[in-house]
Amino acid sequence: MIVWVVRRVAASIAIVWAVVTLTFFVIHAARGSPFLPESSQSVDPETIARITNQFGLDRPLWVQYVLYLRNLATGNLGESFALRRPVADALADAIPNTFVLALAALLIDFAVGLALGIYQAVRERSVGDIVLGNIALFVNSMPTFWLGLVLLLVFAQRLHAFPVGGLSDPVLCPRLDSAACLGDFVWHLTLPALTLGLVGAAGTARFQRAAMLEVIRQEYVRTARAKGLQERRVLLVHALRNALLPLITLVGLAFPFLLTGAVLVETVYAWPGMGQLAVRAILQRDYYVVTGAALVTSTMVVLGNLIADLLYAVADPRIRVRGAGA
Amino acid sequence: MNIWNWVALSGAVVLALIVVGAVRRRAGASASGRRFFRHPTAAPGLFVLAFFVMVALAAPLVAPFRPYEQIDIDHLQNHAPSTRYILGTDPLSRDVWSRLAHGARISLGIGALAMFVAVTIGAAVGATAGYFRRWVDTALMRLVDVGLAMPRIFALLVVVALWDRIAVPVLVLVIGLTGWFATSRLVRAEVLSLREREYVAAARALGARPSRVIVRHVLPNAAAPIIVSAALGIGNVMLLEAGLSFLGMGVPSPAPSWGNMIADGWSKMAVAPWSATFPGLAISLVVMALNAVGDALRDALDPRKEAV
Amino acid sequence: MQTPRPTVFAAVACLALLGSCERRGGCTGDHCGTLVIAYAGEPDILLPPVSEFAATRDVTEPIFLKLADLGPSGNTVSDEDFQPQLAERWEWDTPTTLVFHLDPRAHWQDGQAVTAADVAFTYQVYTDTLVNSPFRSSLRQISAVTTRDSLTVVFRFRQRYPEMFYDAVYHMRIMPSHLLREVPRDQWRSTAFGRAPVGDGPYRFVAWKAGQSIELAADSTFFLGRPYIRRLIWRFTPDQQVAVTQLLAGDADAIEVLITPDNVQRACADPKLACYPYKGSAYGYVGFNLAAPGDTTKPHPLFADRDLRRALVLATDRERPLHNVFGELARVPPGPMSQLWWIWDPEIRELPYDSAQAARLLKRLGWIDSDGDGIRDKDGHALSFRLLVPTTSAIRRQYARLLQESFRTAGVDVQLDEVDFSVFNERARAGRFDALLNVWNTDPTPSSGFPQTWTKAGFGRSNYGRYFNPQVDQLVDRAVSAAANRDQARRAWRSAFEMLNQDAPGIFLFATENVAAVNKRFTDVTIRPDSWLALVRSWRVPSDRLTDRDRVER
Repeated sequence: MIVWVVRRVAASIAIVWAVVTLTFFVIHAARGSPFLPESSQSVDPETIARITNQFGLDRPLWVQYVLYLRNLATGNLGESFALRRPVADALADAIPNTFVLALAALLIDFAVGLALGIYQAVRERSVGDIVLGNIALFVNSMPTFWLGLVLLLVFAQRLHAFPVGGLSDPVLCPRLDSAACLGDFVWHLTLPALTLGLVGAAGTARFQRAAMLEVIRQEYVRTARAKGLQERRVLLVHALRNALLPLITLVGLAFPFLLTGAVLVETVYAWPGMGQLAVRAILQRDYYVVTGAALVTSTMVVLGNLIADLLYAVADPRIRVRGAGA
Repeated sequence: MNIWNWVALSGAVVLALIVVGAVRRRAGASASGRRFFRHPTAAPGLFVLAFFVMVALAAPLVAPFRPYEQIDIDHLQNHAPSTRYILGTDPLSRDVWSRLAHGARISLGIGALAMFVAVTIGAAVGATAGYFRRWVDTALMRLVDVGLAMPRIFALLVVVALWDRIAVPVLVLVIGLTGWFATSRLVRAEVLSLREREYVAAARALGARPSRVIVRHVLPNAAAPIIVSAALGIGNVMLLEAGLSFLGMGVPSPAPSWGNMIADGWSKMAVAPWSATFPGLAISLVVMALNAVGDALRDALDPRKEAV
Repeated sequence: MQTPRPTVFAAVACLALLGSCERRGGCTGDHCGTLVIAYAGEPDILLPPVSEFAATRDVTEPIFLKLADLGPSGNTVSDEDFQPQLAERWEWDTPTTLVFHLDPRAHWQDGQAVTAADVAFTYQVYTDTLVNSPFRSSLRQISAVTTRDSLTVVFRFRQRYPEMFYDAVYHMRIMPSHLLREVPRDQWRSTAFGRAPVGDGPYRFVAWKAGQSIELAADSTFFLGRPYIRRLIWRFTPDQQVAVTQLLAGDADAIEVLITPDNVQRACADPKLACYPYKGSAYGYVGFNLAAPGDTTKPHPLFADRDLRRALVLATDRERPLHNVFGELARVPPGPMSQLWWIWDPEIRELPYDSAQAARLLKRLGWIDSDGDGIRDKDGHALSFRLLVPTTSAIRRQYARLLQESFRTAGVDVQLDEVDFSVFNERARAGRFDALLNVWNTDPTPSSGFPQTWTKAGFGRSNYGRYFNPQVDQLVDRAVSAAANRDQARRAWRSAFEMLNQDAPGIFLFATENVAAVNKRFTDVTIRPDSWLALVRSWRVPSDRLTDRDRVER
């Protein structure tokens, strides 16, 4: 077991390293000196000299790569020319925001998705099942940002029930230092989390419904019923436990989905998270931020997969017996 | 919309119904076909897809205006839906329905072509990894892991933004290149299990070249997961293209795509919601149909279901 | 006013955590009030000498003072209509020597007094080539700035001309020499002071959350009178539409420009907002690059040809796109000018919209559609160019699409290069474009802005297209230095514009009329067209109209 864990962790680190390397070389392939701003008018010579020195911008490509990795190891991710601050600082400010958004979206996703999926499985083929199933299918097929725009229009603009984007009220709550401000933060978090969560919930519901139906039909459940146990107990104890197993893989899959969706949702709601940071950096050709964001996003995805694999191994002993491979 | 547009549109509807009916009759002959249509959403999904494909093919016939045409920028911008402009006009006084019809060509085309690229690469890589196993397999699958580690839209944005202007064929290629990873895993799994079957072992014993074995014997039987992931993948590509257009990186103006129609129209959402809503609805409907058909296909082509 | 939703959560949270709630007391009286301004964009650095961003100007306006400021009439000629600020009075020792006497009560927000040395230091910084201020050329007529004693400054000019006082006071915001003296001149663009400035104006800097907001607080000891509004907060939004939405939802209190007719209609119909129309200081145009993209030594393959440029201007209908985008809220300018300029004259001769003449001209130049694809070509090359547009401006994106289609019907293929605002600026400065869709926010008088953009003095600065006609330069010099005879100056300006129009260095598309919207609880709102927040220290919220935001004590 330990061997397996160590192997997986090593593989994960290798994957992140490969992503960063790929990003580095792809950016270099596109243009000559991407890690300097296009025109040096907006940045002062001292910063340029410092960057050139630290990252070896006047040295051959492989030297630059080695220096970049070395700087990475010491926590120096470079400098953002657009924001005029170190990349590490900008990321440190943005990551918690995306994390909170993703967590809230995940909660909504699983809460709504599980409830919906179970309800549909129990009431298979009923009117409720069919109607909800189609609604879920429709919501799962929407572009996330389009749903965001529609929710913004209806709930924020027309009904004034929620704020029009942003993290907090800059006047009443510039810092999160009271219960009222916590409420204000949650109020700002609601629409973006709903947007991300609902689209995911639709998918989770469909998945959960199918998984539960498959389990319900299996022999051992019939056996349990034959023993005379209560219907409800049969469902909740036996079917749910086994149907929850594949759900864990969904947690791992949720990370890339959430990060992808976060990019667009954060842009729609002006949520100052990593997705918005990365998009603006790409559009502004701020390449140190881009490679930094690539590092962080791939780490989060890989971490999500690792956690999912670990949970799965803990839950299902059959996995642990299998060796290398998938 | 003049009378001929309505005729063409009705023709598209009728043709789509005929296509679905024909498919249904053909499918009734086999068990998998029957399983396909047992899904209540399969037939409607097929109809929606057929309808939009017909509209895309017959765009010049069903669209009363040319997609670039700014009809009357003084007076007809943001015009509400009416008999003449059935889905209204956008802020540049272009007919939304006409752009939707022509945009179907581009959006569906990008979806299908990008998916074709992705499936081809994915099948090739997955089959190679599954057939040859050992270090080839490990190397390729590590590559797939790396590819899956970066969120797709992020990778796409980096590539698209690095080059100043991206022509549509290049966009298709790049989307395809970022989307083959899941397919390759599926194909690999199938190939691993098929590899040990008698006919494959026989072909190898007879000394057939690996490529021949893969193409003639293995892949046709691995077709099922490929087809299913292709169907679901087209939907993903369309959503991606919409996202890219929303961020300003999609199909360049004036060519209409459903994604850039949303991007053009969303600033007027409060006063003229139709120019951004209808393309969004179209995307949702098509992706929904693809999901339904994909699900039904997965059930239909699943060989394990034979026993049930 | 709708019930603020946070109180619902706060009520619930209060019940759970007794005693940790925000109490409803707070500020009372006349000097409360919080003004939240929704702004699409963000300053780059809060240091006036090194930034020409409109956002920087807006935010630094209440922080730093000038020697004297424009009066309500906006007259820039001579010195009668100017209001004392840092200088309490001035006199002319000779026709070219101006002496300012600083107000002894003026002080920096860290306690130090404002001295004449600060003014001399500021002049040095603004004219230093290492700092490379965009305002340097506006000060070229000033030969020296010296101090006579700690409160007396002497300006010497090279010659006498009508707007010399304006040049002495309008462009420079006085900087604290004791805090900035040690900063190396080539590092001004990145110095920490620019992220946390210390000024001498009615408001002092509090905080800047990058990408989100900037907060300023009133200085109650301000020597010209304590400002009524206690806090100014700018909320940055990714684009104009979001800013308007925040305003309509009550999340913001004010916006500088509503721009489009539907925004104006919605905002002015909103019961909690009041609309304030004022003369616009912006004009927009398509500028042609007369030099080769990226190489200023070679001429542009297409746009170096004056006749081709004229044909493109003749082929463009400017009225209908303007009506589509702005409705009645803008006018087609008779040249590169904003409605704020006193020389605005619809009678100025310009190239008309004449598509037939344009077609004839293009044909005569050899551009005909030989392959039937709808686009003219010559010697195998299609008549095609790329138009650089910033994605952050919905107006310009819409114009770009309208122009693209209008050119296509004339047989010209236009490809749009839509890039982020920062990339747009860098490409414009580097000359890496064929044509660009640009908007200028002008000064109140043409004499400072026009030469920077349309004469040789603007090469390497704002004259991105490198247009140069020596006769135009001469006429501009004459107009600027004409003795305080308005008619003579007007005639010279008119000739300059007419000559420039014949050269067709660009297509002048729109000159805006602005409409600002401010929440009705603010009274005494006066807006100066050249800088809308110049008089913000007299805006106030009567004590009976205070809201939660106004009362909060932080």
